[in-house]
Amino acid sequence: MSDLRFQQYLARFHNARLNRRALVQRAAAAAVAVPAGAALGAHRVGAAPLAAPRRQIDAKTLVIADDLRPGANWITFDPAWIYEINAAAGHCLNYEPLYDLPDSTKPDEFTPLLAADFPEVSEDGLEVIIPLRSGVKFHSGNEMTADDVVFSWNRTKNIKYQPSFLATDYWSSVEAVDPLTIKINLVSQNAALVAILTSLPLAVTDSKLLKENGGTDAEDADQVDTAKEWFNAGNSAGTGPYRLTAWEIENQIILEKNPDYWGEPAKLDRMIWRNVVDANSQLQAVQAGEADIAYSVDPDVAGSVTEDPNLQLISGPSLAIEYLAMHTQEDPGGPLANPTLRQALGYAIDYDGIVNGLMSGAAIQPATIAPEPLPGTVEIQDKKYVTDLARAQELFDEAGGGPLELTFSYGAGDVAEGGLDLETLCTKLQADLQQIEGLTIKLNPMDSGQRLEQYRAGKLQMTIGPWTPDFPDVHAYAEPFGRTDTAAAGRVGYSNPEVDAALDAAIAESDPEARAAAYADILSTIITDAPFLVLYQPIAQRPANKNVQDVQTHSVYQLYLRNASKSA
Amino acid sequence: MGFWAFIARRMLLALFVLVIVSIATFSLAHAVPGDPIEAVLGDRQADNPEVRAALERRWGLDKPLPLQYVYYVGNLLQGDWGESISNRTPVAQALRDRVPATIELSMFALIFAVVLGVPLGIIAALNQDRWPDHVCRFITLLGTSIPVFWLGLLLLYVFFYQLKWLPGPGRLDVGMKPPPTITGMVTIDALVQGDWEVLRAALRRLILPAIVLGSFSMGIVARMLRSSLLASMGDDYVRTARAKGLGEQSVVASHALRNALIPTVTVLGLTTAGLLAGAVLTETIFSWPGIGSFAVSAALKRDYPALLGVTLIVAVIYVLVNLLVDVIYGLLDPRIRST
Repeated sequence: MSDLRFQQYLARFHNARLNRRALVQRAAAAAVAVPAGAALGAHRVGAAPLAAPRRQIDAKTLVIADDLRPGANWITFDPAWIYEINAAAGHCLNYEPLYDLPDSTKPDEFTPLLAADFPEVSEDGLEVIIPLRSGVKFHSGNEMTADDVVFSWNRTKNIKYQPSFLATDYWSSVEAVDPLTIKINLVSQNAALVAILTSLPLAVTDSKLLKENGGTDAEDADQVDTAKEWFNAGNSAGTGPYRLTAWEIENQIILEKNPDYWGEPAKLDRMIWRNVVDANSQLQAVQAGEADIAYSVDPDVAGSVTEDPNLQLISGPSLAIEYLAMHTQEDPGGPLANPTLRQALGYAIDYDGIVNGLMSGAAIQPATIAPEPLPGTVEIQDKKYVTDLARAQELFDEAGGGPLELTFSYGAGDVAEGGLDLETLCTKLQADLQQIEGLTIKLNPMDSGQRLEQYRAGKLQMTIGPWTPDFPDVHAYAEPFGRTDTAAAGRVGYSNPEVDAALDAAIAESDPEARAAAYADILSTIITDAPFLVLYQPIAQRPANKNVQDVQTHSVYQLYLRNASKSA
Repeated sequence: MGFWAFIARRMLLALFVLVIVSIATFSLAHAVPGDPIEAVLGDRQADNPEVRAALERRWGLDKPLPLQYVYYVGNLLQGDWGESISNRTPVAQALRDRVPATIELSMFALIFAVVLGVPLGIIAALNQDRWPDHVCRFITLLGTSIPVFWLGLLLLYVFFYQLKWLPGPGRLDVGMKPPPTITGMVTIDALVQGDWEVLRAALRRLILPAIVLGSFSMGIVARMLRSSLLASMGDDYVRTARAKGLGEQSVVASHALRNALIPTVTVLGLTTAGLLAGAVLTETIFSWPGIGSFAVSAALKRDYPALLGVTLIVAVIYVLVNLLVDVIYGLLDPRIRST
């Protein structure tokens, strides 16, 4: 290479470096400019700058941040198909049953809603006459009659889904006596009837409108009824103070005020349920002004809500429980078939650590499977299990002593009642129970679905689960946990003929005091037999903006929003 | 002609892949222990044989397994994807609602990945082992290694909760009606219909989830481009281009980058499919109504129709993206077109 050529090469290389630098500068500029450009683009589109989100909620709109993901909490508003817990808060504004429980801390103070009065019961206690409220109009403008009640209940029965038992187990038939009176022919005397009739699957729907849209109460409704699609398109067949106007599942659900409501008019124009999946994000949405109420809050974060001057914590007892189930038969219970061993376990659990530690005080320890303040639960407070390791050891030794290993199965990844991580709870229980000398607890995390299947098949030695009320009455707990071969009792092989007979007598008892005493006896027997140990009953907590008024938590409807309003 | 024959062959193969995927998913879903009816029924009705029978009839679970598959495929060909067991809505409708939301989010994530990843890759390659390279590599390392859930929660905390610069979870503002559906992608539908307020709200709500979802791809793109560009820069044709007297900009842009992009496009194609299929965490954190959460719910509840629907859609996406990558290959490298 000649000198000249070499000089030219160097010069070109030098230029290339300059160019490369220029290229680097341009690339860097692009990296910065593109996100900025996107922001500017967004800026150009709207009038407002890209700054703080507008406060979109006016004083006549209430926004509730809730998890609206599919398959969980919000699936439908069709009363024959609804059985989801969270959705009850909105459903009870759109659809009304015959009776209401306005304050769930007073579980025996029902008020007539679409019924004009309380039921009139025949002498033998098997025929019930209920007068209906006159002048009640559905959202369509159709007038509500007894035929609508009969249609709605028969439809719920014949759709044969989760809530159908409410319309099959307690009465043999229901008929319209006249346009404003119904007659129920009970299977047996039932003092819990009014409580049962507060259930949302027994809400009254517009039969005329539903029939026009694929609804039927025929016996083969499970195969021929197509009204569910009509419901899920955002339509309403109810009578409530608010009516559904948008059903955009996983985005938002909107209920607007019913201007022709038969009762006291709603104070707000609309309620919006907004999809915010995570509990912390729900709280952030409230704090940032995108929502008024957060449906959930982690117990350990709830304290920060009370310290925030702009927020309030709406709280009240739930009727949910988290319980430990121990199989009472040799197979698969093994040594747990001995009630003394089950009692020993009851005295070893650190209830205070669960209630005040894990649940940060957002729970109480009820005496047994029926949560407080249901009838009969106050009378048995002194009978509940308390932490007493010496007594636990004594009973354990009396039952045969150790070494003993019990297998404790639970659904891995499940969340316990009140938002508690189940794994954490089970690890604590393992530690508590192993304080009994000679006892080893083997934790068995299982796939959630498989655990449920095996538990329901009665194949688990020891497991843990939640229970939420079907209706707000002590019988909704005493029966499934007490009666032979029924629901929870069947899953742990629990059978006590005395309890079975007492349940028959208690459900027929209409005198409140005698009723409470009858259930207190049943619950006491269940405490002694100890097929279940109730760990805690969560206190429902819903963070809300300070300007939200007249909203209460509710043990069945989750949130009682009927009277809700907002201060300016 | 060879190129189009290749595409046709690939499409036939894709159809075969879909049949295999549907059989495999169907068999696997049924082989896993767990009863979908059990999962949807509450404690009270779980033991009620009448209710159980009605539900089995409803979802065709009362028929033998091979017959269930035959019915499923038969219905599928008629456009009936079945009814979701856990959600009790038609699967086709659920997918129609959700797939556009996921595609929209992935599209913006991809834009983020490319507009940030490509310049970072170029800067890093052209400044090998000097401080701009180190900075770029650090950023891309962060992108590929930060867990999605952590980044999502952090960005929400900083930009939504603390600074209040950007909106929180959700696809649109509170109470805002989505525009009438054309594509199902809110930004495009709003743009087409000139609904600027909705477009603005949708774009602002896309920023954080797109960054979170796109950060991993951004890192991969930048790293891939850096290494392939470095390799290209040492190749003979680059030396030739320089020897011809071309400016460095033209050498990099027209010669080195074009070749370096081929492996990057492959990676980009695969990560795009990954974005569409794997947006579960991002969708959960940002309450995004996409297929991610639908898929998780379907899997946990043994919801066979939903599970099959999601799997088929994801398989279709993978197949289409692979096809698209092949086409782009052809565009980038004429030799592929002619083979």
